[in-house]
Amino acid sequence: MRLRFDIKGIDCPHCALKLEKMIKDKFENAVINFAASSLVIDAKDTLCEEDVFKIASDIAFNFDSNVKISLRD
Amino acid sequence: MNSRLKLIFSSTVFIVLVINEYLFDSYLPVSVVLPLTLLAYIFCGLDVVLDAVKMLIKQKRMTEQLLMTIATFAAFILKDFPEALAIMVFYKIGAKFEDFAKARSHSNIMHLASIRPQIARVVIDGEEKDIKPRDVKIGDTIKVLKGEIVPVDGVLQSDCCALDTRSLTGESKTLVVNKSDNVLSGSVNMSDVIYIKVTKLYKNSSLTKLINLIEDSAINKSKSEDLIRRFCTYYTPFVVITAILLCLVPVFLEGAVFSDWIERALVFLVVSCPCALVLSVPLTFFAGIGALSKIGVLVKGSVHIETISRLKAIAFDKTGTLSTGEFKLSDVITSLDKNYLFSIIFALEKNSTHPISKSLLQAAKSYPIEQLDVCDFKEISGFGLTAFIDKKEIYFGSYEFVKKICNCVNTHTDDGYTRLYLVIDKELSATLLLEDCIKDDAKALVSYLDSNNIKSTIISGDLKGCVQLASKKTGIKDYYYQTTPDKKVEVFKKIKEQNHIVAFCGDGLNDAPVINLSDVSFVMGKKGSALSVESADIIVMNDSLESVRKCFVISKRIYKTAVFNIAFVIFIKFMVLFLGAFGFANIYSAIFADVGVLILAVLNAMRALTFR
Repeated sequence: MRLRFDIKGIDCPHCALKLEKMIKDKFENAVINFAASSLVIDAKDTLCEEDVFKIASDIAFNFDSNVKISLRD
Repeated sequence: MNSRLKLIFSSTVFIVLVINEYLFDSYLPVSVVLPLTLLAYIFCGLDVVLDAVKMLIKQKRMTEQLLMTIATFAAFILKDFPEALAIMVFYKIGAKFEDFAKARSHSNIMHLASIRPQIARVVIDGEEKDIKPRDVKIGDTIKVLKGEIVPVDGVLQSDCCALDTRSLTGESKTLVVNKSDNVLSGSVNMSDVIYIKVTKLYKNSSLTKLINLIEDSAINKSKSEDLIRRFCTYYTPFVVITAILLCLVPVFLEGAVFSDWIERALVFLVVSCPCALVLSVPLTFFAGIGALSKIGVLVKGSVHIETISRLKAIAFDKTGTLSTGEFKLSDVITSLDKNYLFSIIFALEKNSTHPISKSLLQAAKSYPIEQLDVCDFKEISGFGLTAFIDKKEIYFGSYEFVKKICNCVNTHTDDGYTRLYLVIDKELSATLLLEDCIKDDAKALVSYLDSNNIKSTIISGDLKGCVQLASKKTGIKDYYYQTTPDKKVEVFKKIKEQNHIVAFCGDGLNDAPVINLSDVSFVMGKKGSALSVESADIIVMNDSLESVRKCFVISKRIYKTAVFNIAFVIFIKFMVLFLGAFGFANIYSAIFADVGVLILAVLNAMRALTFR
């Protein structure tokens, strides 16, 4: 399952790399496109949208409380 | 005071301090300079310092901000006031510039995302309701006003309409769509109000898929991007540890002055952020992919841009790829008066829906046509047409169709032309030669590939003659004909063995095995339908071979720009580090190696937005 998020409040592309690695460790794959302010997560189908959103938000919040993730519609 | 004003104030103070130090030989006393510097520093740097401390205490993490804070504090202790301020001011300018670059490329590349309609006008029982496009269901009827963007895919219910599909295909020609034809989301309605019956959910509609594809291109990372990633994991720790070691040198080295070595360490701290690389290289690819999407070429990852730049050979499918897949009248052999002949053909073909009839009607238009009465019209699909015109019995179709009626000679030879025979009252009256038109831009593409030492080959399932003709017209010397899907794979494997990096360019139908084998594959988009071709790497939305050629040209430029950026940034950084370690680089050159290089590299990357 592939989910797309908007991601805001990352300071620099280098931090984006670090955060991406942290999120990637929890899911199948995760990519932050710094220039597009987007986060794409490939998660196991056993997880539901809300779970993925919650896990990703928690990681981001612990990384830097300024980072905000929102589900794309 | 907003952040921009603060930054302007701090920059002004910095300039005053520099003028004071270098032009007036520090005319202002420290009692004036120190408070002024501190004030300006707090103005622009307080949030950085606070963030750094917060992160260090709360999450026990060293951030770039912390490194900058340490650097500025050290500069203060060394009484290098302008330098201390400069580090912070330029760090801020760099961050502002990153935001600018991000916003600029985002709005430029994702213009599609920004034009994404916010509402869909659903019509239920004659009543109109505005809902979110994602809530529209299959089978709903939606209304699209003049100048509005179609929010979801569907079929046209109105009689006809004109659509501007530029954002989907990069083609500026207006597309005329008739009743029950497909309408793709993302096209702009140029006619009056139209009604569309929804056939696809929002998330599966063309516009959404297109936006997702461009964004997901970041997933298929190029080797250069991966390289940078690995480089960055080691770069910052390496630089910071070296900085610490430099500070310790005076402990072991007699006669070394602490302040001198701390200044050398400062140079290291300032150059420690690899942001110039991390931002500029992916941005080059991303901006380039955005530029390509504007000419109707969708690239599903920066890795493909790299592959294209190193390509050695390419194999083409024929029908629908090199040729338009439509038949064109090329020659007529007849004893009849041509005006009369085309009047008959017009009278027959206007009743038919076969693809050939369209091109025959087109050809007939250039003759003064007489209206003839047709009766007993019959279409035997796959063979031909029969009818009575002027009380004459007429048969029009393939050789197999007419051979039972008259004893005409089979003039069929395998020369690449399709023949149609017209029989009037059991007498062969005309032979029409049709050809599968080669696209106008095929030759230009092939000669471009030749001049770049990329070998082209045609692999087609068609008859020998057709393929030979295509080979002659396009200038591709190597061709394989009558290849079955298995044989196609075999042939492609052979080409791959000889050339290593090989592309395939096809129309996406029955090509899956070859597409999977290829290093990079182009698929003709047939006006958007191929968005569903999962395995293709590059989708040519407007079916144009000129777009393929441009894709080659632009990809090479993107790749060159990226490689240049990598070399440029790494070279400057290491040069400053090297000079800094031996005490030849001051803090200003370090700031240049950090922020200056970032700005230059990113500006260079953003050039890719304008490639065409």
